[in-house]
Amino acid sequence: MKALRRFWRRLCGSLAGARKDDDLAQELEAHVQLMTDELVARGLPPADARRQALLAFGGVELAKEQYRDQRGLPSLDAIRRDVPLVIRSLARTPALALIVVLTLGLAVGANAAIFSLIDRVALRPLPVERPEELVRVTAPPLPYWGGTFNAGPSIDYPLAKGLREGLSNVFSAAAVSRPWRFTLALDANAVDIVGNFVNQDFFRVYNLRPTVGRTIAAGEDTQRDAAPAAILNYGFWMRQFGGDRSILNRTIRLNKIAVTVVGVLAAPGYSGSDPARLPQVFLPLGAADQLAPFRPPSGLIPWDSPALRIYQVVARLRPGVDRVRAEQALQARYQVLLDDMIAKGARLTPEDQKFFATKKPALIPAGTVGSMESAAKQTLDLPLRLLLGMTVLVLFVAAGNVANLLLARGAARQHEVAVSYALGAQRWHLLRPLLLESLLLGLASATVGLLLSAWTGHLVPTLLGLDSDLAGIGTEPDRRVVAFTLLVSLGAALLIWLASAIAVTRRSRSSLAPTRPLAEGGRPALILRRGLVIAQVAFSLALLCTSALFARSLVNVLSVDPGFDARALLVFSVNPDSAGYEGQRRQVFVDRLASDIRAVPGVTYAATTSMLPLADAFSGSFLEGPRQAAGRASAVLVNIVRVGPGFFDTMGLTITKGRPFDERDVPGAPRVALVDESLARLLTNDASVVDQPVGFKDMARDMTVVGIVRDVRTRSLKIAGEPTLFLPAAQAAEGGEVHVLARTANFGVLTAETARAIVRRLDPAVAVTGVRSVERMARDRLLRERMLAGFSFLFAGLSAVLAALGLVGIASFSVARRTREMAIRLALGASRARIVRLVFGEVAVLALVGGALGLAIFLASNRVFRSLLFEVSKDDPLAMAAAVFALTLAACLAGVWPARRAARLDPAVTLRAE
Amino acid sequence: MQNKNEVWQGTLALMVLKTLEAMGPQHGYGLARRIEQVAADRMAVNHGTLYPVLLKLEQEGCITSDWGVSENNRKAKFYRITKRGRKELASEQRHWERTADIIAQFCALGEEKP
Repeated sequence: MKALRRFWRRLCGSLAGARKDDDLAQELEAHVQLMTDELVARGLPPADARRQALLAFGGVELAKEQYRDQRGLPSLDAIRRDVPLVIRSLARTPALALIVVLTLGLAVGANAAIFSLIDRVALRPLPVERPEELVRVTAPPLPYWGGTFNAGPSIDYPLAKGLREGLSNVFSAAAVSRPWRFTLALDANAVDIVGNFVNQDFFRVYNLRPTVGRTIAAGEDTQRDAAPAAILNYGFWMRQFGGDRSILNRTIRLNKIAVTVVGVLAAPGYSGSDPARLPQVFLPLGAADQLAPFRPPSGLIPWDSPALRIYQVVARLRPGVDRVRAEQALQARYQVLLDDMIAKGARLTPEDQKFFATKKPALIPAGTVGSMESAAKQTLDLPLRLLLGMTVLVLFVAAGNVANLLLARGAARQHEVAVSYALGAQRWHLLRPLLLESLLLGLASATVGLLLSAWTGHLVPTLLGLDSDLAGIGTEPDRRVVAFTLLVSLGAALLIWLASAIAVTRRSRSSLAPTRPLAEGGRPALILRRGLVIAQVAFSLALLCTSALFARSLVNVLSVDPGFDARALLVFSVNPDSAGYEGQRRQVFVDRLASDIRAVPGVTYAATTSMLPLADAFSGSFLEGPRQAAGRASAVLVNIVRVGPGFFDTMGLTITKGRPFDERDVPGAPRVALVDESLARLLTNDASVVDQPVGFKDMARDMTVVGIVRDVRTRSLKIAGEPTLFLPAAQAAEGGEVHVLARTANFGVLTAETARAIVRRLDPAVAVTGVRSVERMARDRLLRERMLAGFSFLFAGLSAVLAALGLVGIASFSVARRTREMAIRLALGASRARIVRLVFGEVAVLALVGGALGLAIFLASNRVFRSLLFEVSKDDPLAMAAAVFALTLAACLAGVWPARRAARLDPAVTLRAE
Repeated sequence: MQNKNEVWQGTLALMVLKTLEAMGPQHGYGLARRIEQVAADRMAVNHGTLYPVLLKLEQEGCITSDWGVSENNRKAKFYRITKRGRKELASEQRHWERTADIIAQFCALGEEKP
């Protein structure tokens, strides 16, 4: 306590104590006077008395200094004295300071930009109160019909309700939700929006309050037949209805059903979701039976049936309850429900029992943006981490350059340092201003870096062609990013300080001799500088190899021939189900749409399909053919595509055997199918599969294959030869989205407006989404590859430039150091070419050693990118050769300027000057 | 072994507090003279070192200071012990007495043998 009080007084004294100097002087003077008086009273003459008094006092100035040291905090005072000195010294060499700040700033900016992307995609907490209390519930389904299923990301409502009822001591609220796409009828248009069926607690868990009206009332969420109530998300209300408060109690039509708007969420609304699928409207769970009924041929399955495992459960823990304890409570409650089911007659095999013993329900933290496992996060997580690693390497390279610059300056100041030591300075007195200088430079470069990353946050992705993908993900800095940037810059600053401190800590006796200051610096400094350059070259080569690898990977993917011409192929999607179409009516609508599109001048073919090509969509089942029937092979997992008439012509797919679908293939006629070559090989041995019967596993083999299609990459550019089954939509249509393909003679023949107008003419209640060319869509799916190739190229380039500058620096230093030697050689008759070779030789040695080290680093660590490469081995020799070539080029260029300087040496002038 | 300076500072602080407690408020010079007298001139107090000690005690809250007028009409700063200072003094005094006892025991060790 005493010490704390004392520290506080000393801190105040340090900041404000200078004024007290007068007081002290007065007090000490008074002391001396009193002593003088006493001595005079004893009989000494006044002058002698004063002298005696001063002697007895001891040093007055010393006393004042000791007093001042006690009054303030000496270290703080020293720093306050040093800061203006450091600033002035930096201002004397503005070029050095500028280069350092810019070099570091660039590298730090790159770090900040990537980290802020990671922050946006994964680390940022959800914008709710106390996000650390949110947890997601996962649990395997209870054995309602016997048998076990692995836990998926969603559970059924009875299980959710059962768990919730027993866990009110650990959960303060549990949100149950299920996303859905709706068609909103707005004036004459139909708009496709995403919505969420939610329970009442949903709003409690995410702290959502209404600004107009109310949220879902108690009991309303389970009502099945009442007129549905809808709550609008804030952003949607502002955009679509202009913030009009009279929206309350108005009716809007979702999927042709009238719903009443009972409330609007207050700003900023709900955003705890995949940014690409942000819900715009919230409806009670029970309304799903009217708005999104699940109606297989057997009949309607109600929303709260245990068969519908479609709900996401996110709960809020009670304050003070930790996740582990809550998880144990969850597992206990689950066990209670399981035992209950067994008591009611469910039978479990020993395997089932083992399953339930091992696969237990779990709670996953759900408070960050990344915990939503959005598509963006899953795609970008590994690439972004990799890119962050690369930016750290770039930072090392930049720091190496700065350290070299400061070492050079330190070498030039060796004389000054020697004099300081000779005058009695202590090591720390010289190191402290250097530390301050490094920290100041670090802070300045952090500022530059943050500014750069904010300004170029939108520019760089546009240059790399990534702007539309990252549109929802901004790169403006926030608290975490600023903290990370400061940490990184200060780390770099400390490293730099260590490097520049080396110049200061050596007290060389011979340094007092004022000759050839550039030659000084000593062997250790030279070794350090060479070491730094070697490290720079090594990191640069590793980065160049990585960049070359990703570039090759991207080129490979882009040059894949999907087997059909994706360029002049346009696609858009409609959802007739949400406008109330089903069964035969739906097929009629779809066919009309296709033929209307075909009728547009310039469209050569048009057809519908259930699968968006090159969009990585899969819808499949197990198929059996003659081989399976003969028991010689197991059922094949196939991708099922339901196509309208003219599909094969539209896509440009070749039928190698048999025939495409035609007018014969109508409902009621014998069911037919087409297979691709890979599937054909799996279904029969050598006999052709045409005219053979096939069928789905455990179902009748009632389809006949009428033709074989050449293998194409329909699902994704990256997947070749996947068994695909084509069925005519007329015979085999199911519900869901329908995609319309149109092959056009040139671009611009079919625009989004034309497509929308045609659909609107047919039925204004049907919304149109996603009008674009198939090629563009496929390219967009390659976000990961493009991002890796683009950013790594940028970083590798930056690093190579910095490393080249490092080589230039050390080569120039070497030339300066050996000026005399070279001059003598020239005077003794050596050719200029020989001198130039000397210079290049040194650069070559450094580049070679660095390059070898870089290759070693690369080969040791390239296992990490294996999963990100396409058709390129991680040890691809071509990529490494390209990188080595680039580095060699950089090294040669680096050697040019110092070599020219060396070649221009005039021995007479040089030797005379020494 | 502690730095000589620090030991002296520690004992000087104790002497200052004791003097102030026994003899009431004093100015810097008066304290220096009284301390020399009590030490029976066996020890010469470097008057300059007194002032940092006085400041430290003031920072710790053991003494307070005011400007006043000395006996011979000179303006001087007077120091006064505080309640906290008295508590601190009592505990320091106990600590010193205990230490002195223990050291005395050890010094007497060699002398017991006949």
